[in-house]
Amino acid sequence: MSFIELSHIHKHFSGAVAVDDFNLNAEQGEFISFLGPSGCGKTTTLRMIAGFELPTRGKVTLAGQDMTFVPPNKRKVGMVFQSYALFPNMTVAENIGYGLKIAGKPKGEIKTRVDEMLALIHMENFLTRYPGQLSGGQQQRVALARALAFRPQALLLDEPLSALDAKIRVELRLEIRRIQQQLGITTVYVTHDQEEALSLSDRIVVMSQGRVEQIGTPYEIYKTPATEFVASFVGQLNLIPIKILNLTERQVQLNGYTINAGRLAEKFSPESPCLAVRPEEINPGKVEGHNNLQGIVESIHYLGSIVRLRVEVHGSHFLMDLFNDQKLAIPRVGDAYDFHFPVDACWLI
Amino acid sequence: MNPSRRNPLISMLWDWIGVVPFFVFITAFLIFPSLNLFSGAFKDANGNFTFTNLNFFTDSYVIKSYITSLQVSVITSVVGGIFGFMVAYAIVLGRTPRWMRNILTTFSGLAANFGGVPLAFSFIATLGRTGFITAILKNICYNGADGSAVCPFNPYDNGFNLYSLLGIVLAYTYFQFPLMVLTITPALQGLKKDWREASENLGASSTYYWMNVALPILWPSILGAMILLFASAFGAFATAQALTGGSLYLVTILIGQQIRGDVLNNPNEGYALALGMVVVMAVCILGYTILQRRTAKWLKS
Amino acid sequence: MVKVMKIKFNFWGVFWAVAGMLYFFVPLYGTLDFSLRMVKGTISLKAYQLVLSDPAFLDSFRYSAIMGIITVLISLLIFLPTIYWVNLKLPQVRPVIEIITILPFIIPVIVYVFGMIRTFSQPPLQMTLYPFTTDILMVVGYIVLSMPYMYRAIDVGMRSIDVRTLTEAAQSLGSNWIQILLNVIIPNMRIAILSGALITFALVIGELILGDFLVRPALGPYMVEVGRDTAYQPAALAILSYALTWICLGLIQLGGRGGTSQQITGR
Repeated sequence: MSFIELSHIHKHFSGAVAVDDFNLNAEQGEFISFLGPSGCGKTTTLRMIAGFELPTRGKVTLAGQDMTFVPPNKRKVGMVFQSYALFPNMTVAENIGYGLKIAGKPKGEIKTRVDEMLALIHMENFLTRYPGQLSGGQQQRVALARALAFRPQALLLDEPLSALDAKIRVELRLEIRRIQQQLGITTVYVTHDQEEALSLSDRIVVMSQGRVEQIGTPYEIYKTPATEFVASFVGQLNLIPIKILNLTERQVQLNGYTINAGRLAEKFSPESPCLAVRPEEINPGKVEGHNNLQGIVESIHYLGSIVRLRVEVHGSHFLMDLFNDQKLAIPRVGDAYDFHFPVDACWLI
Repeated sequence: MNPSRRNPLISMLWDWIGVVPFFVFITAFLIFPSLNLFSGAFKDANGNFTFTNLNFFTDSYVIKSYITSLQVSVITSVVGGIFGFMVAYAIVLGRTPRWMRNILTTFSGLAANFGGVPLAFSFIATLGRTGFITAILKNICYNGADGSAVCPFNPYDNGFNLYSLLGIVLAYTYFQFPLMVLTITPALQGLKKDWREASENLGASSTYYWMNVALPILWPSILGAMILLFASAFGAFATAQALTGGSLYLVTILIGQQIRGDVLNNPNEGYALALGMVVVMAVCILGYTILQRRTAKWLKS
Repeated sequence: MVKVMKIKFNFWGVFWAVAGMLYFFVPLYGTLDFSLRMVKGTISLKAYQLVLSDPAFLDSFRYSAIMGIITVLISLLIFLPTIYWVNLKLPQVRPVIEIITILPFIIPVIVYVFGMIRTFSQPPLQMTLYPFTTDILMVVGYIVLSMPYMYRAIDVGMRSIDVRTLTEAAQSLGSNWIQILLNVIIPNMRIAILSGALITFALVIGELILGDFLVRPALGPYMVEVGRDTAYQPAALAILSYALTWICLGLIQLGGRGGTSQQITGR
C-alpha cells in the first residue's frame, strides 16, 4: 500500500483545466519531484495534497486514509512555501514550535523538540532571532524545521529554493535531501529546475499543461524520455528533422548522410519525423560503426566545464557538449568538423 | 542665454526661484497667521508675555468641551475603527460576492468625504423627529390590552435625541468607518496568504491564526488608523455645528464661538485653546507616522 | 467527521459587508425619501423646485463655483511651477514641502480660520473690511485647505512622467522654461491636473467654515441657513450636494487616477 496516493485527480478553475487525470502512488520514505514549466499544474497538485485546493474530481489518500475533503489543518502534512512564510512577529523558536503549541504539547517537550530541529538545520544559535534578521537561506531552513517539528506524516515543498542565489541553492538542496533521508519522511518537491529534480529525487513526475508526461527515476527520465516534451525539457536535446529511409531498420537520411537510430520513441510522429540525440553523446572525430557526419563549426560557447559547439550540417544544426579538459582541441568558427555519435545514443521521435 | 553658466551663485539662486512663490504664499498665508495665533496664546490683554492663558484648563466650559470632544473622538474612533475593520475584512479577506465588494470600496471612497452640513441634514432627515427611520419605527404598532394602538418604538419617547452626543457619534461614524476601511485595507492586503496557509498547515484554527499571527502583525496599522480617526473627529466642526446649532460643547465649537466673540472673557484664552488643539493633532499625526513606519516593516507587499 | 471545507462565501464576511452597506445606504435613502415628501401624501420634487428656484441658492452656488474655479486656477499657478522645480532641480526640498502640505491636517480648519481672522481683520492688514479683499482671503484660505490634495495629485502626476528627460529633450530643441511647462509638461499631466482640480472644486463647494466666519455668501452658510428655517429643503440640498460630490469624484475615477482615498470635505 503506497503512502501518498493520488487517484484520477482533476482540477478545473472556472473553465480552465489546471490538472488533468493525475495519478501517483508514492511509497513511504520516497522523495518525489514534480517537475515542469510554470503553469503546468505542479503547484496546484501539491496544494491539493496539502488541502489548500479541492480537487474537482478524484481522491487523495494519505497513509491509507481518504483525505480528499479533510481541512488543511487536520492533515498533518508539513509544507514549506516558496516565500518561506515565517511569522514575522515570532522568533525562530516560536515559529518552529508553532505546530507543537497548537497540538497542546507541554512546554518542556516543545523546547526539546525545537532544540532538536535547530540542531538538525545547524542553526542552534538562532533561537531568539526574528525572521527579519535572517538571510534567505536561513529563513528557508527555519521554514523546513517548522514544517518538520510537529512530526508530520509527509513533507511538501513548493519551489523552496527558487528565491535564493545559485550557490546557496545547491548547498540547501543537499541539506534538504540529507534531512529527508535521515528522517525517512515521504516528500513531494515541486520545482521547475531539472538539475534539482534530477539530483534529489527517487522518482520524478514530469508535467506539462496539467498532464503527467512521465513518471520515472531520474535515469529513466533522462535516458529514455517517453515524450518529446520530456526529452526537450529535461536536459539539452538535438531534435533534427530527417527523412525516413527504412522505418523497421530505423534508417534515416539527413542531407546525404545515412543515420541509424537506436530505437523508436513511444510517441513517434510519422508526419514530422525527427532524430533525437543528446549533446553529450556527440564527440569529435570518426569512429567505425557509429554515425559519422561532417559539418561547419558555427559558434563556440564556453560554459565553464563544458564547451558547447554548434555545428551546421547542410542547414541542420547539431549542439554538442565537450568536456573542457586538457586534451580538448577547440576548433575555430568556420572550420570543417568531423563528429560522431553511437547508434544507441539516438532515437527517432 | 542661461545666466547660470556664468556665475555659480546666480545659478544657485536661479535654482531656487521656482519655489519662491510657493514659500512666499505659505509663509504669508499659513505660517504667519498660525504663528500669530499661537503667540496670542502667550500674551495677555496688554500684549505682554504670559503663561496665564494656559490656565484656561480650569475654566469649566473649557474642561467640559475637552471632555466632550475627547468622548466623541474616542467613541467614534473605536466604534468606527472596529466597524471599519470588519468591513475592510469583508472586502479583502471575507470572500464576499464581487458586487458587494465593489460597492463597499466605491462607497468608502465617497462616504469618507460626506461630511459637514449635508451629512447633518441627512441624519436629521433619517433620525430626526420626523425622519425616515423615526417614522417607520413610530408606525410599528400593535393593539394594546385595552384595544387602543400601542406604538412603543418611537425612539424619541424612549429618550433618544439626535441633537446630542449620541447623534453626533452616529453622524461621525458615517465618515469614520469608511476612513478606517480606506486606511486599513492596504494593511489587510499586505497580510500574506502564505502566513494563513502555513498556520493552517501546522494545525491551527482560524481563530488561533488571528489571535497569534494576524492581529499581532496588524496592530500597529490598526492603532495608527484609529489615531487618524481620532484626529479626524477631534478636528471636525461643520457636522456638529449644523446638527446641534452649537449647543453641544466641543472644543471646535467653542473655538468657533470664540471667533464670534462670545463665551470666554479673555480672548487670549481662545488662542490658547486653539494652540491646545493643534498640539493634540500634532501628537496624533506623529503617532500615526511612527506606527506607519512600524507597519511597513512587516507588511511590505 | 468529514465536513465540507470551503463554502463559496464566508458568513461573517457577508454579514459585515451587508452591515456596511446598510450604514451607507439607509441615511442616503432616508434623505432621498424625506426630500421627496414635501407635499403631503405624495412623492414630489417640490423641495427640489423650491431650492433650485431660490435666488439665494443660485447666488451662493454661483459664488462658490466661481470661488472654486478661481481657487483651482491660482492653486495650479502656484503649485505647478513649484512641484516642477522640486522634481527637476531641488529634490532636497521635498521633505520640507511634504511637511508643509501636512500642516493643514494638523491645524484644523477652525483654528486656521481663527488665525486668518486674527491676522487679517486688524490694522494694518484689515482685509475683512471690504467684500473684495475678504474674497481674496477666501480664495487664499481655500488654496491652503486644498493644498494637500492638489499637491499630492500634481506630484504623483509629475513623478509618473519622466520630467527630467522631457525637459532636457525640450531644452535641446531650444525651448525656454515657460514653453517647456506649457507645451511639454502640462499636456502630459492632464489627468493629474484634472484630478487635483476636481478634488479642490469639490472641497470648495462643500466648505462651510471659511464662508461662515468670513461672512461671505458661499454655499455652505446658505445651507446652514436653509437648515435653520425650513424642513424639507435641507434634505433636497443634501442630495444635490452628494450628487455633485459624486460627479466630481466619479469624473476622477473615470480619468483613471484614484484620489478618493482621502477625506476632503470640511467636517
